[in-house]
Amino acid sequence: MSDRESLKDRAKRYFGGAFSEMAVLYGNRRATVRGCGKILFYSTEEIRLALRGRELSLRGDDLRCVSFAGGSVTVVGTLRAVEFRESGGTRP
Amino acid sequence: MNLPLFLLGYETLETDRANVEALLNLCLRRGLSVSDFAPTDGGGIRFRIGAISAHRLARDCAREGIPLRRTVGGLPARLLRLGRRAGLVAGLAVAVFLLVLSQKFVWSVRVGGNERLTAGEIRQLLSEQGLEVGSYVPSLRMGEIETRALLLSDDLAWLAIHMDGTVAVVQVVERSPEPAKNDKPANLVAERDGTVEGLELYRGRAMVHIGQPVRAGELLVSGVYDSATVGYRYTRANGRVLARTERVFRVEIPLSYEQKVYGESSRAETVLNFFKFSLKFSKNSRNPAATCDIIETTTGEDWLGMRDLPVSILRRTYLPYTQVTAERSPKEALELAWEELERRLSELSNEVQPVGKRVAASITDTALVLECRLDCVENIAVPMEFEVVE
Repeated sequence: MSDRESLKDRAKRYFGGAFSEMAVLYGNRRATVRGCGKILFYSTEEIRLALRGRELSLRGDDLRCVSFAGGSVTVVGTLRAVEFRESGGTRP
Repeated sequence: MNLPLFLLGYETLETDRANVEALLNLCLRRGLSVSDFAPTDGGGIRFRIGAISAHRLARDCAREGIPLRRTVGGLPARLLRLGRRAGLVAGLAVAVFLLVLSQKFVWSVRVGGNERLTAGEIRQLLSEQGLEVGSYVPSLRMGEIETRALLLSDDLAWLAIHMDGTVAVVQVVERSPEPAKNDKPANLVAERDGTVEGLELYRGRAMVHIGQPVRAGELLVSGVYDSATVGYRYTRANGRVLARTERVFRVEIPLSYEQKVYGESSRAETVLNFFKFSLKFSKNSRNPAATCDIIETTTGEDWLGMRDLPVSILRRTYLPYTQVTAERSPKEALELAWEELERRLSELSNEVQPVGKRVAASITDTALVLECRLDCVENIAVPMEFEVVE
């Protein structure tokens, strides 16, 4: 197998920023999750988001959603845990 | 509160626990930004979004069967609520109109530089030329007003008017009074009876001497010179003749008098004065009593802390009364008599020097009489002009 990157992988790497999943944490006060397809569960202690093929669980206190712009979900509050789980992959 | 959200209008959306995820997914699908996101007591959520986005979201919720509670807020909603109160809107419009239009009128006339003339006299003079509180500023020709006022006034040497906003500032310089010249020949005669105590002669021929008793009207100093060489010569006699006189003051205080007894009921009127216009706010329909005192109270010139405001409130109160006959004791009458006597004595000129006083009080059937005999030394010479027929 060649070590050269395939065209598809290269394209994914260059242009996949908008389509790839990303979770950015700003300390423990704010998290922006890109590539979220659906919100599976919301409460002030846990928010579960459906990503491509997996779930992301944000747990903490006083969790609130403040933005849904551009397919990203921004959550503020006091974050205590961020957990990825494998799932069936819910498509938006 | 997000300021752009407030200015453009927003809606507060709320849903219950069962529909939280569905609503959030709709927001995610639309890519909305929300503010003031908060959980409700029942596990639901509440947030604010712009009014237009809220409208679209509500439509999606209705289509998907998501129950939603909507509350409208922001400046457009408040203005709409205000718009339903026609009186408030009309009042605001009138206020703005007056604020803009009132700058075209004179609100106050301030006078400076006057010493002998009062500000009121100068304002009256200018009012006759068209400048007064309430005058329409664009129609005023200050140059003409200044010229006409100077021509009509014998007391002003210079006058200048300029507008400082809505205040007409008037500066004046008064004419210096010319000394009165009176060359008509005159004698000095006695104003009242007395005994001559001293003579200060500036011009004329003395006809009395010290110690001589004189009667009122008697010649004291003559303005006629008789010369064997040049014949008669006439002058205006001038001088002071000090004499000891007696002045009598009689004060009578009646022992019974008419007293006002005020009734309980009174009515009041309130009048708003705006420039030259008056607006009555309240007027009782009952006729006033046949006899009543009217007390008028007007807000001062510095009402509301603003100087010379052409707006004032006049409050007129009617106090009906009846006249009853009351008695006063001799002691009360004596006190009143002394007060009256003191008042009359204080009115004496500074030229009159009191040197002795005798006071006697007596009571008649109807009154208390206080008689004061005041010995004075004063100038009793007064000029009396005469015509010379050659």
